[in-house]
Amino acid sequence: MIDIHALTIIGGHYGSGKTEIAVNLAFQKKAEGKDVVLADIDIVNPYFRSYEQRRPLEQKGIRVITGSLGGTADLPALPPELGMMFDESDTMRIIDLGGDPVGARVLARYEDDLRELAFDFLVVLNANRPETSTLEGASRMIDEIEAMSKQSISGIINNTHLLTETTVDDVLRGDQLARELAAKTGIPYIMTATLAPLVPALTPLVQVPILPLTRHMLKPWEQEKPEGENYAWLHE
Amino acid sequence: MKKELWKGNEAIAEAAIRAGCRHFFGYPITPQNEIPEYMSLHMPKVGGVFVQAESEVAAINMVYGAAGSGARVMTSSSSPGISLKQEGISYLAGAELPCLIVNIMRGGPGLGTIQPAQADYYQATRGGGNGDYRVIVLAPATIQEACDQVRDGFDLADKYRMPVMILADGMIGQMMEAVEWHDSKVDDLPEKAWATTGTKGQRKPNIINSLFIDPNESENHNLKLNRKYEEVKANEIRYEADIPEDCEVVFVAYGTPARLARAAVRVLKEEGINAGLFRPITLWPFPERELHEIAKRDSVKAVVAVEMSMGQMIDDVKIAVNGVKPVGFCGKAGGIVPTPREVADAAKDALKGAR
Repeated sequence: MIDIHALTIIGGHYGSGKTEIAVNLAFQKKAEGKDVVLADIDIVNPYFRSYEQRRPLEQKGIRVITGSLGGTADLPALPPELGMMFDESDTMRIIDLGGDPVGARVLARYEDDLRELAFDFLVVLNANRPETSTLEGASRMIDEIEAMSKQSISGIINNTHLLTETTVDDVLRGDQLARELAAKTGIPYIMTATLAPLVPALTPLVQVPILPLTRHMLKPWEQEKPEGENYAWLHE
Repeated sequence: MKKELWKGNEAIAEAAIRAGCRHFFGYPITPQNEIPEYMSLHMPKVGGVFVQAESEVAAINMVYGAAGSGARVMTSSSSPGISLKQEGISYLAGAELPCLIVNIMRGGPGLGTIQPAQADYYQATRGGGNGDYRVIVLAPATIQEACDQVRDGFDLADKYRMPVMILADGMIGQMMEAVEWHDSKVDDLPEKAWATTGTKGQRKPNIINSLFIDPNESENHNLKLNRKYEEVKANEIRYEADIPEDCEVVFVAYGTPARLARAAVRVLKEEGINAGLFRPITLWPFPERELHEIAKRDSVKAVVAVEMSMGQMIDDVKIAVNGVKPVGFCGKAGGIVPTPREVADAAKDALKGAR
C-alpha cells in the first residue's frame, strides 16, 4: 500500500507518466475501499489525458472531473468542481496536472485554497526523457515547477520507462537519479512506479516502495492484439 | 545509441536540428505546438533562427526568403494553418525552392477539431495552391520513422529543388515512442549554386522567381518542372508491403491507420482470414505500380483503404488497382480513430462483396 495524503497532486515533465500514475492510483485507492475522485486539469495536452479513461474509472465508482472540455478544446479552462473538491477531506482526491512548469501553473490559481490544507505534491521523473535524464535537467524541472505552481514538491516518484520496451536497467538508472535528486533538493524520494511484470525483479533492488502499474493509456492500435509488445524483461 | 522516449512533435523538431536545419518560421496551432515550442528553446543553442511569425502566411513567405538564400529551412502547422500556407507553397514550387513543411493533421473542414485526422490528403497530394506543381509527401507511421523522414525530406528537397511535406495525423505528433538517434552528417550538404547568396563581384546575380510573363517561357518552365516530377516518380517511391502468401485482402493505409490495420491483420488471422498491409510511405509519388502488382495476385480478393477521413487516398488506391479487384473502405472523420475491430470488419465486408 502506498502512503499518500488524501489530497495528492501529481506533476512532472511531459511524458514522465503522470497520467498513467494518476489513473493507476485512482484504481488502487478505490480497490482499498476509499471514495476516489480524479481531477484531470491538464491545460497543455489535447491527447492521452486521464479524462479519456473516465468510462472504466466511472464503472468502478470513481468520480472524474475535467476542464478544457476533456481536452477537446485547446482552452486553459479549469473545472469549477475543483474548488469544492478541496473540502472533501474524507475522499481520496487525485489531481493530474499538465506537464512541465506550464502545466503546473494552474496550481497558482488555488494558492489560497491550498494554504490551509495538508496535501502531497508529487513529481514524476522519467530518466529516459531527454530533458530530465541528468541531475541538472531533473533539478531544473523541479525548481521551475515549484516556481510556477507556487507550491513545494513533497515527494519524487521514479517512473523511468520506455513504454513496452522498459527494462530493469532503465528503472534502476532512474532509481539512482531519483536518489541523487533527493540528495540535491532535499525532497524525499518516496516511490518507484513500474509496469507490474517488472516488480518482482526490482523488489530486492529498490529501497523505496514500488507502485505496480497497469497500462491504461493505450494507443488506439494497442486496444486489441498489441503489436511489438516485446516486454524485454520477460525474456531476461 | 541508447533509446530515449520522445513525443512525436518534439522528435520531429530535434530531428530537423540534427539534420542541419537552422531556420524555422511558424505560428502556433494545436496539435503541433510542441514543434515551434521545441524550436524556440533549442534553435538558439545551435545558433539557429526561430521566428514566431505574425501568421502562417508570413511564416511560409519567410520560408521562401530563407530557402531562396540557400538555408535549410522548415515550417510546421496543422490543417487550417497549412491551408493558409498554400499560396506560399505554390510559389516555392514555382521558384524551385527546397524546404520542409510539416502538417500534423487535425479534423476539418474549417477549424474542425484538435483531434487527429487525415483529411488533408487531397490538399497535400493534389496541391492546395494554384498551378501545375507537386510536392513530395512523406507519411510516417512511427516516431522513429518521422525522425528519419525529416532528414530524408530535407535531402530530397535539396536534390530536386522542391518543397517536401511530412503529412502526419495528430496522433503521430502527440504520442510518445522510443527513438534511437543515428549519426547524421550535416557538414557536407551540397552546394546551392542557384541561391541568392551575394555575387561578391564573381558571377551574375541569381534570381529566385515564379513569374514568367511570356507564355512560351512559362510553358518551358512547366515542362521543366514536369520532367523533374517524372524523375521523382521514377526514383523516389517508398512503401512497405507486408503481404503473406495466400493473402485474401490487402489493407492500404498510412500513418495511424496503418498501425490500426496491422492490428486488424492479427485480428483477422485468428479468424482464419489471411490479410496483408500495403503502406505507402510516399503519398506523392504514390506507389501505384507496386500496389497494382499486389492487387493482381490470384489470392487477393479485395483491397481496403483505411483512412481517418471520409475517403481521399482511396482515389489513388483505385487508380492503382485500376479495376482488377474491388476496393472497400473504412473511414472515420472529425477526430475519431477507428478501432482495429472496425478495420477488420471492413475487410470482411469487402470480402463478402467480392464473392
